[in-house]
Amino acid sequence: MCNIGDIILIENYKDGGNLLNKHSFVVLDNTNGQIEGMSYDLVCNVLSSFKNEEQKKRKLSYPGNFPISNSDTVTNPDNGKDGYLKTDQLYYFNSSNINYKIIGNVLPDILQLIFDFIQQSSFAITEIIDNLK
Amino acid sequence: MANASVIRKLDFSKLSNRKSGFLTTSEAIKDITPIKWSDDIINGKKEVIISKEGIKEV
Repeated sequence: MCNIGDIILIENYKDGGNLLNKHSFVVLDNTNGQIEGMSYDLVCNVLSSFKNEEQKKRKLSYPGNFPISNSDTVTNPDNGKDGYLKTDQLYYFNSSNINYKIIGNVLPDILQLIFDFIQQSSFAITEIIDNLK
Repeated sequence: MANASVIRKLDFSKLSNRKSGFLTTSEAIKDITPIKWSDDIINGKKEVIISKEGIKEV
């Protein structure tokens, strides 16, 4: 079972379909719930990388995209990868319907920043629930 | 800075008036660029940590 803040890599679906193959997600919540009559136990945001600097500027201009980059270049100039979390989309999963592996986690201070960012922003949120069918 | 051991959970009730509908997975991920992880991540020899230093494989 996933913990909040885990980073998961979805490998494939048990029911066929491979749209989310190799996509990585951050677990925002792991509470059981129902949406549109369907059960879920994971709510996630998708992680994305950047294709190039131009696309990076464009993507980071969207209000729902939470940037993830090295903010400590003074003491640690060895940058990690850059990317962003698409916080304006909530993906709902039933963990019994997906094959996934936990590949890491978001440290608590960053996770709190993400939660505060989502709650304090005003961008519209869309929900993806077709993985529950 | 949040206490490392205590995180305030995401309060979904605060998001309810911002929900604007549903997207299909194919619509949602069409402009997502998957992060290419190393073989060490895929094989479980390393893990991903997201911190103030960005996304690192450790």
